[in-house]
Amino acid sequence: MLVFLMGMSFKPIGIFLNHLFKRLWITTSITVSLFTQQSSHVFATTYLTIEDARSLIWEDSIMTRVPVILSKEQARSITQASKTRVRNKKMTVWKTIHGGWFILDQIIGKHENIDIAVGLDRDGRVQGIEILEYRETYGDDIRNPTWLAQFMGKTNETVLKLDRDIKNISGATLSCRHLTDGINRLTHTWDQVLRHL
Amino acid sequence: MGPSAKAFMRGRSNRQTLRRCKPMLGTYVDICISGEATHRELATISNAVYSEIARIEQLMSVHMNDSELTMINLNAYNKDIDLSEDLHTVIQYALTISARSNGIFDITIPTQVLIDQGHLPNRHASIDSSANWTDIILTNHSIRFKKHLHIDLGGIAKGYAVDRAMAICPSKFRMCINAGGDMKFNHKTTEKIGINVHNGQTKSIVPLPMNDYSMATTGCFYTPNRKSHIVSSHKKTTISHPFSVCVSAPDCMTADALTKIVWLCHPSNTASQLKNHHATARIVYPNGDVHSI
Repeated sequence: MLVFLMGMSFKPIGIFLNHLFKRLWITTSITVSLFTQQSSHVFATTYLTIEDARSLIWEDSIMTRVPVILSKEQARSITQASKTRVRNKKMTVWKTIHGGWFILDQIIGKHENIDIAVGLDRDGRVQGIEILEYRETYGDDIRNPTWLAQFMGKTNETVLKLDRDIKNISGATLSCRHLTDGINRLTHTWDQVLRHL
Repeated sequence: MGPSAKAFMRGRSNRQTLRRCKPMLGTYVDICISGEATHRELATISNAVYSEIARIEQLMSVHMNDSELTMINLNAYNKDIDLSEDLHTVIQYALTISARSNGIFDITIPTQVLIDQGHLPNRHASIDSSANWTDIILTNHSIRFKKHLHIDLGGIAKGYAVDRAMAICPSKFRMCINAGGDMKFNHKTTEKIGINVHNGQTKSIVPLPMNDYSMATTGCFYTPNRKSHIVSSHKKTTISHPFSVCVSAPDCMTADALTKIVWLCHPSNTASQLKNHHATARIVYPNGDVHSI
C-alpha cells in the first residue's frame, strides 16, 4: 500500500522538481550574467516533463523515490572511475519494482547545460535517455537591436519576437560528449552505490 | 498538468505535439512531431524514428568499434567485402560527388591529419597518404580498397540517417528532425532557422528561412581553438573559415555533402555544383551578413 501511494505521489513531485530545476538555472544564469564582462543569453528548449520521460523510458512501471546522498568518498571514487566530476552529491532517483532505476541529472558542458532523465535496468545497462531541457549560452548580439537591424531592418520591438520564433538551430555539430560522459558517471554510480540499495 | 499531459493520460486524439531530443550520431537529435493523434501514438512513431537512426549509426559510424564501416576499414584492403544496401547507397553517392567535384569531396580524405588532431580514433595500421577516392572499388554488392585507406562518411551519413528516419514518419503527421544541425522537414515551413555564427568572442544566431525541405550547416566554432575538421584533399590540411556555410537542398545527405564543397571551394566555383543538385547555399558571416550562392 505504501509503495502504491508513493508511486501515485510521483506526479506532484515531478512537477515540483521541474519547477525547481528551472528556478535553479535561472538563478545561476543571472549570477553568471552579473559577473561576466559580456552578458549572455540562454537559448532554451524544453522537450519533456519528468512524467513524460518516465513514461517513455519505463512505461507504466511503478517506482518509489529513493533518497540518495553520496558521501565524499563515494563521489571521489565515482569521479575517479568515470573520469567525470560528480557535481551534485544529492541524487534524484526512483527505483522500479523490477529493480530498474530512473535518474534525473544535469549535464554541464562548455556550451550547453542539459537536464536529463536516464533509465538503468537492474543490471546497470542504459534503458533509455531523454533530454528534458537543453540550454545553450549565446552572446548578447541576438538581443542587440543594432546588430539585428543589419539584416532585419526592424526595430527593437522585434527582438523578443525573434527569440521566441526560432525553434531550431543549425550550425557546426555540437558533440554530445559531455552528455555521454555524464551517462558514464551514472553507470559507475549504479555500480558503486545504487546496485547495493 | 498541461493540456498535452492531460490528453496523454486520457488517450484521446486531438492535435498533439511531441518534441524529444536524444544523444545519437555523436550529437543531439531533436525530433518534433505533430498531428491528430494521442501523445502515446506520437511517442510510438518517434521511437520508430530513433530506432531507424540508431540502425544507420550502427552501420556507418567511424567511432563505433563494431560498426559495418569500421569492419570495412579494417578488412577491405585488397579484399572484397560485402556491403549492406544502405552503406552501398551512401558510398556510391559519395563517389559520385567526388567525381563531379574533381576530388574536392573525398571520403578518404587523409585521415591521418584528423587522427593526429584527435578528430578520428586511431584504429591501427598506417594510412597510405597517397590514397584517395579513386582507390575505392565499389561493385553492386561489395567494396575493396586498392590502397591502405580508411573511409569517414562523416556528415553525409548523418544526412542519410535523417533522410531515412523521415521516411518512417506517416505523411499525415508533420515532422522535423534536427540532427546536430542537419535538418529536414516533411512539409513546407515558414519557420526561420537560427544559424550559429561566431565572431571570435561570442556565439550568435542569424535567422534564415529554410528555402527547401532540408538544410545543413558547416562551421568550426565548436571545435577546440575553433580549428576545422574539414580536410582539403588537395592541400592535405584542414581548412578553417570565420563564417558558416548553410546549404538548402531537397534531401539532407545532399545538403551536407554540398556544405563541404562550398567550404573547400571558392564560391564562384560552386554555383554549378549547387545547381546540378537543385540546391542553394548561403555564407553567413558573424556580423549577420548573408551572401547567397
